Amino acid sequence: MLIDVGFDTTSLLEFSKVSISVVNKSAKPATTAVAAATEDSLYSQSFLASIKDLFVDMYLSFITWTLITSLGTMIW
Amino acid sequence: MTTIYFLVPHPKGIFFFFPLPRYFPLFNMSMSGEEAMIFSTVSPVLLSIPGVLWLAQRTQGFVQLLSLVGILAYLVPSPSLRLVLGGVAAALNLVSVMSTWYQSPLRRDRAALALVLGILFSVIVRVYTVTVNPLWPILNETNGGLQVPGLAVAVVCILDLVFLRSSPPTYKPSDKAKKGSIVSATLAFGALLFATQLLASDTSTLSRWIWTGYPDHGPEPFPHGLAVIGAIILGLLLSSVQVLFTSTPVVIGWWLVGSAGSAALYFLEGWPAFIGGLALITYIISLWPFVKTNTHKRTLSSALTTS
Repeated sequence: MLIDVGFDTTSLLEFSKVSISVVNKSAKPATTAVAAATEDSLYSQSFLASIKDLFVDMYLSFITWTLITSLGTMIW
Repeated sequence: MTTIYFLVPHPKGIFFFFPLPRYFPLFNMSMSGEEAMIFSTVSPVLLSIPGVLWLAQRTQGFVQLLSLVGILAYLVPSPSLRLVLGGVAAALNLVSVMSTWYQSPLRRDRAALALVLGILFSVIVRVYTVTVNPLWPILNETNGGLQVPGLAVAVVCILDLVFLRSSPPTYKPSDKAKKGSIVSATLAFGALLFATQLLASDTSTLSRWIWTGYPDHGPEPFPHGLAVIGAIILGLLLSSVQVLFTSTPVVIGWWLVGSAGSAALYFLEGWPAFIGGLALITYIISLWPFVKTNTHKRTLSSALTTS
């Protein structure tokens, strides 16, 4: 877990130097603005919120792997 | 107990019936049909049906909540029913998870990172609980199962996903992005998923794979198997090193490292094979963000279906 946190910190520092913009030329201006705002919110949250979200994603992925690997054990 | 008879030919042309008692029903040894539930993992094929992707993206939390029945199945005494529930749960969960891959590249990259962190978390848990995953429905409170706390955390995580995060924006790749070889993308992602589950889902797989019998000079599942965790972490760190996937000479060099590791795993024994396996795991994990991004560019549903 500590290594995970360290990795996320590194990622956060890397992203601090990157400017991200989402441009959808085919969409209406209002839709583009909403999409861009949603994407910005992914990386504009606090460090603790990022860690919390990452833990949620990681745990739900753990559930996914649990379900996949449990199939073999149940058949066996 | 079941007794079966083998017809044994004698040199003089006489056949004998050789009885062989078995202490379990013969049907338990054969394909009884329930094994077909293993194919529930191809459920993302449903995403290619019009409307299913739209529905899956908007009911992600609900579907994931529903898929927890696969863990709750530990309460079901019948192994057959437990397997069916596990298969349905895996199918639902994979549909929900894979539907997130159709979202923006930023969210997709984040999902790739989460998936690899998920298998890392799984491996660490299995080391702590001595090879088993405490959420597997084959366990219960008496033999190491931790389904209740595990489900509680899962429910909290899903509620967070549903109520505290903004609704996921739908994302459609451009026509340019849809071009490319479906076959190569499918083979690449299928191989990656298979290899990850084969080698990186348990720390003891590698050490037992290259074991050649007694005397056992190692490596042992513990503590040497912990090196698998190190290989996964190293692969994760290397996945963010862009030069490994952009500079042609470096790409070839890194591919040679992975190939050498694979060759060592298959053709050598003992420690050299173990080290080769670790190199292969590092290589495999490092590929996740790259392959996931490029698989999406080549019609993701087709890739996932065949995978």
